[in-house]
Amino acid sequence: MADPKRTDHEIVDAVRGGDEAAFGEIIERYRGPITNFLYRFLNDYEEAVDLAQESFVRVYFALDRYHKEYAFSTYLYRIASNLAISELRRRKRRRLVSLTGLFGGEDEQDVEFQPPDTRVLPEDETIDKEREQVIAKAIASLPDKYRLPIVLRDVQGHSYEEVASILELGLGTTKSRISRGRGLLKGKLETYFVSDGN
Amino acid sequence: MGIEFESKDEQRVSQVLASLSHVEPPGDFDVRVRSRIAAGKPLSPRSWFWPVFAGAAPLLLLGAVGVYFITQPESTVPSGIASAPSIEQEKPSFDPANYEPEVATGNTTDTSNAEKMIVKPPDVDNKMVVPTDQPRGPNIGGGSYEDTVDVKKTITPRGINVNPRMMPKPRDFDTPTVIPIKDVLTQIGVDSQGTSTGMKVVSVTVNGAANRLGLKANDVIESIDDKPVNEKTSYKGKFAGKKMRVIREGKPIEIDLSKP
Repeated sequence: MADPKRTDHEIVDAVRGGDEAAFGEIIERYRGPITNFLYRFLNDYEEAVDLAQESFVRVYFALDRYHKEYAFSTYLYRIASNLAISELRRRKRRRLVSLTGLFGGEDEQDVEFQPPDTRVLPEDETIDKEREQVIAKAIASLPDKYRLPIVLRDVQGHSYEEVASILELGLGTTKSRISRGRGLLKGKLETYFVSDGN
Repeated sequence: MGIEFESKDEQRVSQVLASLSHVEPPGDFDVRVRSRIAAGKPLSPRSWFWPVFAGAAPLLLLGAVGVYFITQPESTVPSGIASAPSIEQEKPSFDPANYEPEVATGNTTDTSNAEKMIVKPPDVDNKMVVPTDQPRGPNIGGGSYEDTVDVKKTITPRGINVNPRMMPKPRDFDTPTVIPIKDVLTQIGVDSQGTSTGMKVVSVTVNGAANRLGLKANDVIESIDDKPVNEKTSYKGKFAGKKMRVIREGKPIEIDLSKP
């Protein structure tokens, strides 16, 4: 059972001291948020679970190099973010489907087409599935540099300072990218503004 | 602290995103993490380079050797065959290593000339006859003994196909891509949904082509180039539509797709 009173740093000290079972508390604490973050970023549940597991494994083997000057969650999210970015780049290299050759001369950055994830979500009985899919697609259409801070801030609920620390950006840059990302999403999510008001 | 939102719309976007449900990992998540840790090192499925390189290196080497032989000009005879007996290069039953020129003694008509004269090896004359009744030399591969006599023939290592016309054309190049209309609309910045009368515009990207063309949310695309469209409409190869008929608030509108 996890001890809710132990801080992350205390658990890390215990693991470093040889108590490997203590790492289970870390997993229990962050498996949900990390999986959700990766799912909202990649819009692919299986990939999100795989990368979430990989994040914990990498954190475990890198515990000796972890410095307590910043929060453990920041460290964990940073690893997860880097894995997610690498996955996106890998997808682009594989070129799942590219339709950008059809139209030329668009000013906006080309949007990579990704096959929709039609798998059933774990708890979809009470969820408005279509609405969630539209929002997920909208997030997936954002360029990487806006998508990451948007998901960390507006979906995961991190503060601006935490987001800046995770992404190793300045606070001003972080706020600017979040604002820009929201601007890009506005056109896609307007329908839900109206429907929310009804 | 600063202002959180620059506009009310930003705040609404943030609220919509915050309303997304949270997914949970599967029940065996912890077990899988522990098994990966127990394996001893981070199991990165993305660390594919070295295993692939180790497997591909011999194939690449074989491919490079094959390309070298294919690109050789026709007159070149592979080095392994060069030592085979040929008309120009070697004469049968003449061993240069053991040949000692014979000094002419009484074989010439001019006996006053004291210079040593070199005579030809006794078995050699201007005509070359290949003895067929004698045993052949060791087989060095790459062609028969008779092939080496005819130097105009191209001799290539076995297994190399030098006829490019025999290489089959990849089948996929002949098959045009089929693109559903939903994907075509996504490319111009339209998020769409099929309805009984056409394709409904759910949303339009701010800086996308559709916005510049004048499409708006809730428009219903009825036809493209006078052909009715629905969710099952698709296009082979390249999409080259010129005009779109759209129903907006019950009224038809023509949209010119060729606008820059």
